[in-house]
Amino acid sequence: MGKNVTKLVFPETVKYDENIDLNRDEDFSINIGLLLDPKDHLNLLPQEQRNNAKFIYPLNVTKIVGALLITLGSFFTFNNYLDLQEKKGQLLESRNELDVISQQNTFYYGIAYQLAISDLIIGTKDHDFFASTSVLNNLKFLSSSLPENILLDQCIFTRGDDGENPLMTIKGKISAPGSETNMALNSLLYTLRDSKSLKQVSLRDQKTAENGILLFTLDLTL
Amino acid sequence: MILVNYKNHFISTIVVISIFVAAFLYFNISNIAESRQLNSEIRTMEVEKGKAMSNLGDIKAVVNDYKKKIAEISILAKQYDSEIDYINSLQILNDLAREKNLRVDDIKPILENTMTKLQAELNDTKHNVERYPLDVKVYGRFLDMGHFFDDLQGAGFAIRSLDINSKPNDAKVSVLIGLYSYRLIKK
Repeated sequence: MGKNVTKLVFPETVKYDENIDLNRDEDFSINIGLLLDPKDHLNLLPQEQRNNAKFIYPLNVTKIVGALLITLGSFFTFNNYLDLQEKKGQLLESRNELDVISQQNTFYYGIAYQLAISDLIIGTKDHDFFASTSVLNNLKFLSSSLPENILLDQCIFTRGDDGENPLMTIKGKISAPGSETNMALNSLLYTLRDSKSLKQVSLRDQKTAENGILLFTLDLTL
Repeated sequence: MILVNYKNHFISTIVVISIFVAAFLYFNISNIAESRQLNSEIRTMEVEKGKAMSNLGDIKAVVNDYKKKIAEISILAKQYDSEIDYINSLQILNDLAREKNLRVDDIKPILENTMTKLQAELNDTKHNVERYPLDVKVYGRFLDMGHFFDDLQGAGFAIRSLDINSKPNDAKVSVLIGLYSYRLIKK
């Protein structure tokens, strides 16, 4: 058939491994078949066993791959789990801190609100006295700066209920010869406008009576 | 006869590994999703904390200020526990006027508290402060009137309004004085 035939050389003695327990009914027939017929041409084993034997290698590979996958998967899952637990702890801690800060804020604004009311009460009295002192000072300034020829008939000081718009209205008369009445009034206006405690000085009304006396009304904004 | 069925072993191993892999995928995907959600919540929480911290003032300083103000309110005016006591206290107006040779023609106390209603929200004060308007009509010399006004302020009255009227050829003036008086009432 054109093929070289060589004599099969067997070892002179065959020594069995003493560690193998031959009474365990292990199936070594496959090994004999593989030894004698690597390409499986002369295999006398039943087809069923041969088909079964095909799964040995994939099974071992699958076991190794499975073990690796389970090990890596366990490691990864465990790490993720720890990470998740750490984040849950972190979130809980943040929530607690936020709760504490919120409680502090509520307390702070409660006290600040009550402090503002206290300030309002104390400030109301202080403002009343400030306005009162202011009107007295202006009254003193007015009486000291009026020349002898200017007489005051009426002086009215008013302010709004909220203490705003304090206004002093003075009505008076100037008795001076000829045109000196106007000069005296202008001089009074200049003097008052120089005062730092008066925000605004305006002449509301002026008229000359038959006897030459100049009647005037001034509005002084404090 | 097959002593060990490798095919079945192989298939069952594949099934077991697949179950493990599916379980790992399920747990890890859900963990990652939850972790992302937690990250987002932590970020939100940090932002909220930052805002809350920036709004938070110096609590100790505010509390100290508040204590001082509360104590100050209790010495803001004289305490009169009944309205009769308060009305009687207005006798000082007559006394002050007499000292300055002035004549008091009329005293009109108006027992209407004009202090802020917000005072009711103060929890820690021992007293309420009340502010009453009061009208006083006085007649006398203008110069004495000035001293009287100063004395009124010294006695705890604030001038609310003034209407000074002088008559021709009369050295004396008639003054309608609007005052504020203050009273403490124990809570």
